Amino acid sequence: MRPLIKTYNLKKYYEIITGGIIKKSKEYVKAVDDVNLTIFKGECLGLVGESGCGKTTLGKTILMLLKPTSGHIFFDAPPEVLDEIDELMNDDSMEAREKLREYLNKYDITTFKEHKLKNLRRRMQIVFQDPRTSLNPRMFIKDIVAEPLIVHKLAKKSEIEERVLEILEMVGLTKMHLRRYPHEFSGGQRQRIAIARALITHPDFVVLDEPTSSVDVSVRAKLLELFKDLQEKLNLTYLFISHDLSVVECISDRVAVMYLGKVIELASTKELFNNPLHPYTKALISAIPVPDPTARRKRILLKGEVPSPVNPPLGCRFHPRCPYAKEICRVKEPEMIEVKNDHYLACHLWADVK
Amino acid sequence: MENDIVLKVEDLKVRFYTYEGIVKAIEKVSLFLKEGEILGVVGETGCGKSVTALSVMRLTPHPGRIEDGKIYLKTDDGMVNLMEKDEKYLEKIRGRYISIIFQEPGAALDPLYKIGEQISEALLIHRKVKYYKDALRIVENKLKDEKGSLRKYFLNIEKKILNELIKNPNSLFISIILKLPLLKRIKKLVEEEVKKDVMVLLKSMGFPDPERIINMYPHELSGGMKQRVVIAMALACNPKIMIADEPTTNLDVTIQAQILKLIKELQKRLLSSIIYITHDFGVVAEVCDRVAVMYAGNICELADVHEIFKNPLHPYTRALLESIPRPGKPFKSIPGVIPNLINPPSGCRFHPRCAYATEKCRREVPELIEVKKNHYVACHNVVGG
Repeated sequence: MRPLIKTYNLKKYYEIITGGIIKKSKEYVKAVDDVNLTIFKGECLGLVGESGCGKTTLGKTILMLLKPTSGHIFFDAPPEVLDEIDELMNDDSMEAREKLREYLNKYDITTFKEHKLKNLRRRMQIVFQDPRTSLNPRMFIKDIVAEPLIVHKLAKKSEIEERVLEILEMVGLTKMHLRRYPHEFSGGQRQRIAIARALITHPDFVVLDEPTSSVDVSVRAKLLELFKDLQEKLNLTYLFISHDLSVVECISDRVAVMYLGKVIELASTKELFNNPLHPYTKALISAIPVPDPTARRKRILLKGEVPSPVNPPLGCRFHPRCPYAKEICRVKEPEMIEVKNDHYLACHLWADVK
Repeated sequence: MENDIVLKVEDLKVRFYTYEGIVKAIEKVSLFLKEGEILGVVGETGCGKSVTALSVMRLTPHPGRIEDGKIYLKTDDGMVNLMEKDEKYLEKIRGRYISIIFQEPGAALDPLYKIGEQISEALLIHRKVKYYKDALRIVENKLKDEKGSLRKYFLNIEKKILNELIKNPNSLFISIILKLPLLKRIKKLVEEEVKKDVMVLLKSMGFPDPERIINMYPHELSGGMKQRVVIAMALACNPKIMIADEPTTNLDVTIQAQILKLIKELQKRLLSSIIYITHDFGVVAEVCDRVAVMYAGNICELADVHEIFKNPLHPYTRALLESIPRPGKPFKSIPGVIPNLINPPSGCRFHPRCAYATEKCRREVPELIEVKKNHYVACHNVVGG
C-alpha cells in the first residue's frame, strides 16, 4: 500500500509564560511529542485517546493548520523517495545530509511557503467536532459550501451552484436546503453540511475530528454510514479522531492509541481490540460500557487522572497510573517497536504483561 | 409491594409556553421508583428526559409549567403529593429526600467559592440545628474547664446565643448580633463542626486528601473530580432519591468507569434509589435495574434491563438498540427526524418513523399497558399480536 501521509518525529509544543517581569519562566505544553505515523492511501486510521491527549492537535498539525515545533510531514510523496529518506535519516555523512535537505525542501510540507501550501490544502480537508460553531450563522448553506471553490478558484461562477448541489445531494441534502441558514438544521444535518464543505474540493485526505460526538445515537449511525459510503465513492483517506472506541472499532481499518502526546500503540482494528498489548489500551477497552446487561467482564480501573502535559512524568508517561509499572518504566522512555506483524507498541513490559 | 415505592409520578403533563407556540414537552408520563433500585431513563435529545427529572423536583424551567399530574414522594410523614405543597416545603424536601446531579459539573459549582464552602452550604441548610447543638456541647465542655472569670463570662454569652439559635435558627436579631467582632467565634465553631463532616463525605467519594480539596476552587479540579464533588453535595444529607442527569456524558471512558463504580457503590451503601438519565445504552446495561425508554415526551417502554435488551417490544426501542454501532454489522439508523413538539404527530408520536404504523396508530394515542409482568409497552401493534 502506498503511504499518503508520513510524519517523522512530529512535535507541537505550546509555550506558556508564567510570572511577570521578575520571575518570568517559560514552560511548554507538549501536546504532540515525537509522533511517527504513516497513513496509507484509502484507509481509515482511527485515533483514540482521552481528552487532552493531543488527538486534535495532531490532526490539525498534520494538515499544517498549526505550525509544528519540529519534525517532518510528507504528503503524497513517492514511495521510493520515502524509502530513501528513511535511509538518509540514519546516515550521518555530509552527502546524505545534503541530499536529505534537498528532499525535505521538495516534499516536506512543513518547509512549504503559504502559497505552495494553499495548493495542497485543496487536497486535505477537515470536519470539526461541533457543527454549531464551525458553520457561519450569517451565511446561506450554498455560500458556506461554495466557499472552498471560490478560495481555490476551482469553478466558474456559472458552475458553482451545480457543483454545490451535486455535493449536497451526495451527503443527503436537497435543492430546497440551498437558501437556508445553519440554525434551521438539526445537528446531524449541520454535520452533513460541514462534510459537504470539506468534500467539495475533491480532497484525498480528510481529518474527521470527533464528527459524531455531538449527535444522538440514531443520527450517529447515519453519519457513520455516510462516511463509509463517501470513502468508497470518492476514494478518500480518513484520519478519524474520536474518544468513542465503539465508533472507531466500526469504521477504522487501523487504530492508533494516544496518551499524553504520544502514540503508544498502533495496530489493525481487529488486532487492537482483540489483543491489546499496552496496559493503557487494555484499560481503555475494558472501560467501554457494553450494551448488554448479561456481559460480566473483568474491568481494569485506572487510578487517578491524566497528568498535566506541562510536566509529563519521566520515563514512560503512563507509569504513574500503570498497574504493572517497574523500575525501568520510571527511568527510560519506551520506543515504538513492531512486536508483531503490523502491531506497534511503546511499552517496556509487553512480554510480561501478556 | 406498595410499601417499597419511594416515588410515584402519575400522568405528569408539562407545557412550555414559548413565542412559537405551546411545546407539549411531557404528555402523561407515569412511573414509579422502588427502594434501592436504579431506574434508567433513555431517549434521544429533546425527548423530555431532563424535563421529567426537573419536574419531579418541581424545578420545571421557565417558561415551562406542570399542567397536570401527581408526584408522590415518600417522606417521614408518609406519602406526600408534591404538587400540593408550597415552595417553602419543597425547599426542605430538596437535598434531604431528593437531590439531583447535572450533566455539566463545571456549571453546577460556583467558581467564586471554595469546594469546602459549597459542600458545607448544603449541609448547613438542612442540618443547622444539629451543628448548633454540636457547637453548644463544645462550649459547655470548655465552660467546665475554664477558670478565668472574664472568659467564663464570654462563654456563657456564647452558650446563651447558641441556645437561642437552637430554639429559633432563623432569628434575625441573632444573625445581626453574630456580626459583632467578639461573637464571630460562634460562627467559626459551627463552621469547624461542618468541616469535619465535609471531610468524611469527601473521603467517601474517593478523594485521598480531602484537606487539600476543601481549600481548592472548582477550576483547579478536573472534570471527574468536579463530578465527584457534585455527587458529594447531592449526597450530603443522605437523600432517599438521587436523580443523575447524564452525569458521565462529558467525561472520558476511563473516568466514566470510575464514576459509575462510585455511583454503584454509594447506592449499595446508602440504599438510596437513583433515576439515571442517559442516552448511552452501554451505561444503562452497566448500572440500571429497570429502564424507561422515552420518545417525544412519552414513555414508550418500561421494563427490566435484561428484558429490554433481550426482548424489546416497542419498535422505537428496537430501532434504538439496533442503531448502536457494533463491529462487523452494517449500520442501522432510524429514518426521519424527531418531531417538533409544538405540533406533535397525532396518535402515537412515533408513527411517522415507524415501519409498522397502521391507521390506528395515526388516530389513537396508545396507552402504557402491562403486556407481561413488569413489562409495560405503549404500542397498538404489540397488544394486537
